[in-house]
Amino acid sequence: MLAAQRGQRSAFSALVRMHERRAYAVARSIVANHEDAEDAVQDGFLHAYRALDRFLPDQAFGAWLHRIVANAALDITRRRKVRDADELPETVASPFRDPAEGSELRSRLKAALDALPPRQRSVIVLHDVEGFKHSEIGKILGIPEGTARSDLHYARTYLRSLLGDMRSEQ
Amino acid sequence: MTDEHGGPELVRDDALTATLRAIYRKPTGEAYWAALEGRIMARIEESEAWWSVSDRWLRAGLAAAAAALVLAGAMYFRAQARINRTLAADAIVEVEGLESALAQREPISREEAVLRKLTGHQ
Repeated sequence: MLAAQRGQRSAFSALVRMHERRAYAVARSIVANHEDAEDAVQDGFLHAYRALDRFLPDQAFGAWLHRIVANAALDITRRRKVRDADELPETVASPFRDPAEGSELRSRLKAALDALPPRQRSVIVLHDVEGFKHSEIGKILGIPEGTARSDLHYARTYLRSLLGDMRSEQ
Repeated sequence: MTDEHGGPELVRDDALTATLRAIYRKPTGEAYWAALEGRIMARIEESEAWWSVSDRWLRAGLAAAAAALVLAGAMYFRAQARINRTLAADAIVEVEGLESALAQREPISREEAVLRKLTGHQ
């Protein structure tokens, strides 16, 4: 870390290698697709690199970086909203399209996730998929821990009721 | 299954969690992550190069702007001095012209005109 702060490029590269997967997960919980998550990770690391002199060694680098990446992802989401309001919707081919994507459960769950308020969606993904604790989620998204907890509750209740409906249909 | 923090309101649904994990699955393969690391470092290098170029242009621009300011100041003072000199000369000419006009209009007697002719004063 100190070497990276002294401007040693290889030291920062090692930090990227160590944290990029987790940074991607944070970004992906906020943005709508894989491509935007990649952009947010790149923007986040770039901002972190420029702000390295403001990083205090007694902080946890991961937590500091995740906050920056989350902000980059939120910026992308805001820009996309403005752009989507101006343009006709466009289908983007994803290199990570799952063959089972067409399954009804998954497609309905995806639709339900899209219908969730963005913060609730981020919270449930960060908690249930990535295993972050409520306190960590609060720091990443800049919300109180209690809010993260209640967001998780609402998101789970909503999605579970959807799954319940599907199960009773079968 | 319940959460690590407990509480009935935070009961986890395993089927839901499994589906969420499938939807939000991260890309697999070291090659992908190595490529992403490469792209991140390339962006950092690009941005540093851009900043150093823009920094050089900024310094050159500031020097050019300072030189232009000095030149403009010098030209302004020269122009101002020229205007002042012209105004002063015009003032003198104006007074002299007025005097001669007044002299022309001054009525003189025949005797005085003869006297001026004799003495050589026109």
